[in-house]
This record gives sequence, C-alpha cells and structure tokens, in this order.
Amino acid sequence: MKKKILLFSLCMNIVPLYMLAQTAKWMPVLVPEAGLIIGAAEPSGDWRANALLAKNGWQLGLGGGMDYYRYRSVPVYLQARRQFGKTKMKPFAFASGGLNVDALTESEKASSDPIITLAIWRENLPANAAHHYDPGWYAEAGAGYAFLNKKQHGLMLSASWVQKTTKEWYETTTWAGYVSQPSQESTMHYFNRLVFRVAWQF
Amino acid sequence: MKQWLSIAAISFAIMFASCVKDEYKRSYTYYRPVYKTKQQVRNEVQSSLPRTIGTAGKLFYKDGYVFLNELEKGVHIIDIKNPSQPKVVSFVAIPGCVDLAVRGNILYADLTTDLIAIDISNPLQVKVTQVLEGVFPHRYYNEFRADTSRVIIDWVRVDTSVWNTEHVSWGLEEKQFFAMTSDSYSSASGTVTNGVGGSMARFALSDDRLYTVSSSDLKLFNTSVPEKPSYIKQVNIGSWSIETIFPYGSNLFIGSQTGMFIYDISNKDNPTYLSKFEHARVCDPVVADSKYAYITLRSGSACGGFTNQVDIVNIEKLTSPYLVKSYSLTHPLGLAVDRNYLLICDDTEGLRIMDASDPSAVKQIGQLKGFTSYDVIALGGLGLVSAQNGLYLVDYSNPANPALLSTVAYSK
Repeated sequence: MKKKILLFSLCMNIVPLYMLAQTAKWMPVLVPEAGLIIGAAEPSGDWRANALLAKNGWQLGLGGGMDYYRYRSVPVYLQARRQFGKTKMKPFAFASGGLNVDALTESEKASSDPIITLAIWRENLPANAAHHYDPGWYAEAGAGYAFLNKKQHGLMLSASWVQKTTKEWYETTTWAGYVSQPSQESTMHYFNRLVFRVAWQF
Repeated sequence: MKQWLSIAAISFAIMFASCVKDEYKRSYTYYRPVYKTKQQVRNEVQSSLPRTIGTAGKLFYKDGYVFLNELEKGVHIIDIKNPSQPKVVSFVAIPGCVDLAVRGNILYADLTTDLIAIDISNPLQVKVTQVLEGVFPHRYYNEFRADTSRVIIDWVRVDTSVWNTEHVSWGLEEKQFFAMTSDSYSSASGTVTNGVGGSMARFALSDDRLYTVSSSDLKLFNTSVPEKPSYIKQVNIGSWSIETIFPYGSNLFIGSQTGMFIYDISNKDNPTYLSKFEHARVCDPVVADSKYAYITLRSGSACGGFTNQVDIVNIEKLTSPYLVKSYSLTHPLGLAVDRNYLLICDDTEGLRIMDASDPSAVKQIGQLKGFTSYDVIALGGLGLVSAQNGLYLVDYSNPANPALLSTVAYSK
C-alpha cells in the first residue's frame, strides 16, 4: 500500500511536469498551509509553503516547511495538485515527494524521548553513543476541497496521508561471549500520519 | 456536493486508518555461538606452537612463566625468565577458558562448565590429567545464556534487520527503561608451589586448595594431588555480584560490586565468614596485606556507579574492617601491593605507583603511561601489566621512575 502511494506520488509529480513543459501559459500560485497531524503518538502539527505553477487545472512546484511530529524536521518536496471542475468551489487531489531533513530542537536532542534517544534506550545503548542521522524521504497523497473566488484565491481544506522517515546511525559494541566488538547499528524510522490542513491559495 | 464530501471522508478514513502507525526497521549485528560437544572439545585440548595473541584476559605467574588467557580460546605460555626478552613458548587450546591458576606443573582452567587440570611439564606437549564436570554450572554472557551442555568454540557474526512497530500512545509516550544487566597470589605447600594471580582473578590458590568464585558462591577444590583435583563443596556468599577473589595468609578477600567479603580459611575446607566492608555499587578488585585491604572502585556500564577511586581499608581487626581513606583516580582496574607500594592499573593513564606507607596520606610517586592497562602482578620490582594491546614488563625497582623492559604485543 505504502509503495503504491509512493509510486502514485512520484507519478503525480512527473506527469504534470512533462505536460507543463508542453504549454506556454502558466500562472504562479502560492499556497501557505498549516496542518494537524494525527499519528500513533500524540497529535502534532506542521506548517508549509508551496510555490506552484498552475495551468489547466494542474498545479505543480516546490514546497517546504516544518513538521513537528515526534521531533522537528524540515520536509522539502515536489508537489503536484489537480483541481477538478471549473467552478469556484471544487475538489482537488495532490501528492508530494521529497526529502525529510532532521532539525531537532536543543530540548529534543537532550530529551530521552524522541527518535534517536528513544531507540538508544530501547536497545540499552549508552546515552553518549556516537550517532548521526541520514535524511529520510517525505511522501504524501491526499485530497481536499477548495473554496476559491474569481481570482482563484481562497480557502483550501484537505486531508492526506503523510510519511516521513529518518535513518539514525549509532556506534555500539556487540558481545561475542566475553569479547566486545565495535559495531554500527541503524534504525530506520517510518512515521505514518494523517494530516488535516487549512490552506490559502494566493 | 455534501454527499461527495461524506463519501470521500469515509473512504479516506477507512483507507488510511491502518496506515497511521510509527514503525522502525532496526539493522544490527549479533554473534551466534558455534557449539561442540564436551567430548569433542576435551579431545582438542592440546598445546601448539606459539601463536599470535588475540584478545587477552587474565594472567597468572609461576616460576618465570606468565600464563596469559586468551578469552575463551586458551592459554599462552610466555617465558619471562629474561624480562627484557620475553618469549612466547606455546599456546594451550582450552575452548571456553576465562580463568586459570597454576600449582606445581599443573594448570587449572575452566572449560566452560568444567574444571580441567592439565600437566604443563612440557609446554609443547601438555596432557589433560583430570576433568571435573559441571562444577561451574553458571556461565553468564552479557544478555545471553549459553547451552551449558555443550561448549562454545567460536562466534559467528550475523547481520540482520527486524521490523517493529513503536508502541506509543497519545499524550503520554511509553517510556521503557531497561535496567542494565549486570554481570561482568598465593602460598606454598610442601615442595609443590602455587603461582601468583592477578587481582581480577576468580581462581585463587591457597596452600593445597583451589578456591573459585562465581557471581554468587565460593567453590573449594582439593589440589593436594595437583594433577587430580577434587571438588569439595560450595559456599553461598550471599551476594549476586561477586567478581574477584584474593587469598592472603589464612584469609580470602572476595570482591563484589557492593563490597568486600572477608573469609577465614584457617580451616581450609570450611571457610568462615568474618565480615563485609560495603561500598557504593561499582566494579571492585581487591588485594590485601597484613594490615590493609586495597580496593579499586570504578564506574562502568557493567557495574553502574559513578565512583573511581582506591579505598584503603584497615583489616587489622578482620571482623570489623573500616575505611581509612579514599583516593580519586581516573578509572582504576586491577592492582597489586608490594611492600609499601601500590601498583594500580588506571585504564588509559597506564600504571600508577603509589606510596602507601602512610595509608592516610597515600601519594603517587611514579607513573608509566602509553598504554591502557587492565591488571597487574607485582613480583618484587618486576611488574607484569596486562594492557589492551600487550603484556608489559615493567621494572619498578625504582618506584619513582618505572621503566618499561619489554612488551609482548597482541594482534589487536
């Protein structure tokens, strides 16, 4: 299921990109948005800004923001949207795909809860184990409803499934009987959430 | 339109409800034991030409030879009659061996759960003289309990990945805190003499008895006929964190993670509990002389605690030992006492030599740096220091200016 969504997300970005290249007219669109994130852990939020190009019901471009679920991270992604119908109020579908870059706050780094330290506690690793993060990916698919005016500005409500991932690495020791050997372990985290957003299209 | 919205919302919720979870894939390495039957292993106990020293463990000294354990592999025999030119003589393969002692020409070692006696008169052609089966039933590895009916002869590296779902709940995360699992000299008798062990030893020879400690008990073996040791009995010490044993005179000083136990072995087959000197929970080898016991306390993942010091304990009255004074150190491990001098392995700080003639004013008078030290045996001016990368032979006849005589390097 997740792989299909990821594939869909990629297609949604690549196909319209090709189509846009075939047309001469396009309109810039800016969509700032804020979301309520519902996942396995406590609800959280995000904010993002999408800079898109619009033509014939298609919108595509780049976006980025801050995601606060479990820990702070910065998603940077390509996004494609498809608005259906030519009325002012219309449904739309969208997909995003890109990178999720870790940006832990100082308190999160010091905490024993989020992300890296969580895994360390669970595996009995020393708290000072050398570790680092690799950026993960960011994928999203969703749908919503737009309430636009004549200028195509207006409110947009949406719901989407969003996955952000990160890979943490840490140095540890592994016991072979009485002898400990240095080794490197990794934990790939997958955070799968539903996000309900309010946006404004300019 | 409202109908469309409702259908979309319900469909969306059904589609994705099961996808809202936090998962992780952990990739890690573990070592899988390779077993052999005890009979197979016993048949393979034999000596061979010298080989490279890998991961060294405890050491023992007897009559110009150092017996150096290679963890779970066997014992290297090193001729140090000329300390400036030590020579590895042979290697005795003893799978599962981590502790050893030498009396006369007999090497006692643990072969996982068994005690094995080996005639080493000819180090290149050793001979098993006795096997006492199952006398060490408990063999602990960190977080791993071995099949003690067989013998682990090797460990194979396995790289693996596992998927898991993180169990978190809204509002309050499940915080799972695991307790760290804690694991972790001699006299003469007639014409047969005993060797000298390090302070990290779990085997101790006193007169014609071999005393061994597990994490919770003391075992006695009769070695009056060295090549045919016999099991006498087991004494429960009343602690689950015993680490070391040191014999001095007619007493045993047993180091545990919470204190030092003193036993009277005047009646050598009936050790009598005399007292316990308690300290903070840390790792602690102990040595002693007629008036004082010297205990190094160190912090570490296996033992917990935050103390790094040497405690000097007055034992003139063995039933009521008391602390004279503590001295801070970096991360002390093994130690030895020679007359008024304390030789202390202080991890990356190498070997410290302290003047302990006044226990209330102990001061460092010499230090040899340049290696990560583990344990030491003091031989009246010659120090045998087991370090991370080799066996160091140190001349401390001038304690203020210890000098490195030679090194037997390990392969890693």
